Amino acid sequence: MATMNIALEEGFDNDRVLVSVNGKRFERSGVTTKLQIGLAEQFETHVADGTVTIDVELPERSLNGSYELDANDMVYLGISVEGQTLHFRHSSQTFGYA
Amino acid sequence: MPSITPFPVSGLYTWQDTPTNAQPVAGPLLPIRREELRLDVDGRYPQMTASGIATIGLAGRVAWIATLTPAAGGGWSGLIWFKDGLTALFGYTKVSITVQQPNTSAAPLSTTVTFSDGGPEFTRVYQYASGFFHTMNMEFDCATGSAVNLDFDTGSHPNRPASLAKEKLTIQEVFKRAGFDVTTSAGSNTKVPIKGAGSNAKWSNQELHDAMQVHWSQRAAQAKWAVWVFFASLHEQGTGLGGIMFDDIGAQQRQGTAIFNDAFIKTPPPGESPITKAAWIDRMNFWTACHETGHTFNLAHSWQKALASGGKGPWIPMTNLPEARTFMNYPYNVEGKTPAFFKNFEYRFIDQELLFMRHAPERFVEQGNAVWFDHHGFEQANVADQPVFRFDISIDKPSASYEFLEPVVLEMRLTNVSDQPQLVPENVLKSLERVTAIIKRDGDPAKQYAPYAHYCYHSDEVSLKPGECLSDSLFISAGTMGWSISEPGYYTIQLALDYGAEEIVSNVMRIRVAIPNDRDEERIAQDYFSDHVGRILAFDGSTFLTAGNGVLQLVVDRLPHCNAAIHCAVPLALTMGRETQALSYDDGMPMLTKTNADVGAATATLAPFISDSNRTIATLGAIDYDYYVARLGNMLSQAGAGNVAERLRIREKKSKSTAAPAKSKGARATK
Repeated sequence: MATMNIALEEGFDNDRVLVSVNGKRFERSGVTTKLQIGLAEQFETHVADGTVTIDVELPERSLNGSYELDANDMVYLGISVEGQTLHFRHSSQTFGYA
Repeated sequence: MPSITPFPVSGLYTWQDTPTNAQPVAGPLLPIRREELRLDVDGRYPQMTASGIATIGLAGRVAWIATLTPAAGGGWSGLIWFKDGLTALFGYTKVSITVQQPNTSAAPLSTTVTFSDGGPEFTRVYQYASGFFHTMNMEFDCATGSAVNLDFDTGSHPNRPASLAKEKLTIQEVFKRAGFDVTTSAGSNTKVPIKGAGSNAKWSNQELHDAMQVHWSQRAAQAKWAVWVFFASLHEQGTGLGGIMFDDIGAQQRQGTAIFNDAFIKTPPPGESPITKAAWIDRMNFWTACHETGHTFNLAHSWQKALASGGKGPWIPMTNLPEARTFMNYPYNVEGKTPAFFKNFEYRFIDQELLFMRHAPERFVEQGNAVWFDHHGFEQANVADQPVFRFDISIDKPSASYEFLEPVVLEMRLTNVSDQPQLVPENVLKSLERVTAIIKRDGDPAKQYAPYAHYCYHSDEVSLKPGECLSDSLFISAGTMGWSISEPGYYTIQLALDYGAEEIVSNVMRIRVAIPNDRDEERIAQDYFSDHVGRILAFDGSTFLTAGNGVLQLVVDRLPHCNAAIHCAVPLALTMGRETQALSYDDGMPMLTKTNADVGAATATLAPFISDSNRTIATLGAIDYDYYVARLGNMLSQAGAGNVAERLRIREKKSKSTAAPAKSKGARATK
């Protein structure tokens, strides 16, 4: 079992965000990036070790994207909006914000 | 023979109204009273830029920025590429600058700036004031159990630019090199009890803000070139947050920042040599402190330079610089990550950031500068030695006490106090273009009143004989900046009229706004102090803002004994009592729908207005009272309700014996 920390990072502006991790759905509303740290909010979930599929949708902006990664122990996932595109990144170490 | 180090000429120069040895060669177009010049052509990180701030009249300020190149024959010249403020009154597009210096190793004495292109050329001489562009104060405190980390030995880690000087660099020195004369607060090194972080001993933004309120010795409810830098263990967000400029609430923002010593900045990567781990940590801590402090200057992250969000964006068009080597970038996000960043990082802000910090209009940069003109008032206004006019503000109430919800209407009077007739624009008061009003509630920052509309009038001039005056009314409670007078308390109001070379400052008026009488008033206030209601009151009615009309009707119906009901009755009656046409659509076809005048409803609504003319005059002011009586009377007469109109006029006649002399709404000469 791995722990996945999901960070909604840059480009959010009072958005409703739907995140699906291997089919398990999370919904966050009013998501707004705090510009001085480049982060809106973070939350954690547990996933089975192995390949994880993450689907993200911002319905009011007609934006969606999908990402796959291999989860193992601890994994950090960062999601950002840039224009009309969703960007993903992941790491086994915590992302730093300042 | 020892070489002589040239004394930098960059820095701050100032011009005052009566400098001892510097007079303008030719007069400016405008009554500019105080000016600053920032010359940035040598010294540390020169930006080849000059910028200036001029105060025009009482309320006007123009900030300008020019890019300079060396001029043939000495000095510099360049084009003004940025203006902010009353730009229409400052047409110049070129500057030429020379510096007066006894010799190159001595401090400069002054600089001469010639403005041209866009107006009659004029020259100004500014006196040297400082080698820095601004002064500022830093206070460094820490939580119990944490330490303040002010410096970094740039030679301590081997991964660095080959050209980097090995030195013990301090946070203060970083900002000195950015152009700020940094002083360290005597209140520094306060140990802030960790209990302020709550039971989890991790700081939330609110707890940080509270700690700043209590422990920052320089705290003031005003913009100030000062910052509180707080070192603590961890934010409640955990080790992922190395620091934060947490101060983004309230009227004064960007004054406080925190560094979390035990966050990820304390964890070197696995490959870091044990010999350099301490230097790695020290370096990241130092970077974080300078990064967060940079945010207090309104600097964005390098990759956000072009970002506009929530109606806020860059001060000039910018491009994102995700690879920039600046304190404002994340070292671990560049190509090649942290090692690549520090390999050619010179512990500085990049040029576009320095340009902003040194030369952007102060209100963009100065910490806490959210409300313009706060604590300036009119203390520095330049008043003529022998004034030609006197500017008075008054009310027609027996005492300067206002009920809760009661709008404030001032009477302005411009009087010729000279012994000669004076020509003045007939609508000099009515247009509000030249009138500046400052309102300050005790305990709150001052606000400048911004009317919903400026009116453009044909500028006929009228002659005022000695002792004659022009008068007009001013609804000052609400404007485009919201309701300036709403909460109970004491308010100070002062106006000024920018009249050519003379700033005519009014008397100061103190008023008191009472607390609500009951819960009903409190409930209505939630809807009453809105933009819609403010606009309806300011424009004497609206057929479009129906929700606002509903609030006004509620006041008339529920609070008929209150003075606010008189104010609300007028726009409602003026709206109800006339025919209107509204555009509507029937199956997609546009059509005009006519609404008949409802004289009965208008008359009923006017009950608070009619019931006690003395009270009505007191709250509306005699100018507005007479104006409304005439306008309502005409409207009612035309609608066939001459009897009601006559009742208004009867009241008018009665009132004249007890009120101020009759004046029309609008500029009018009276003796």
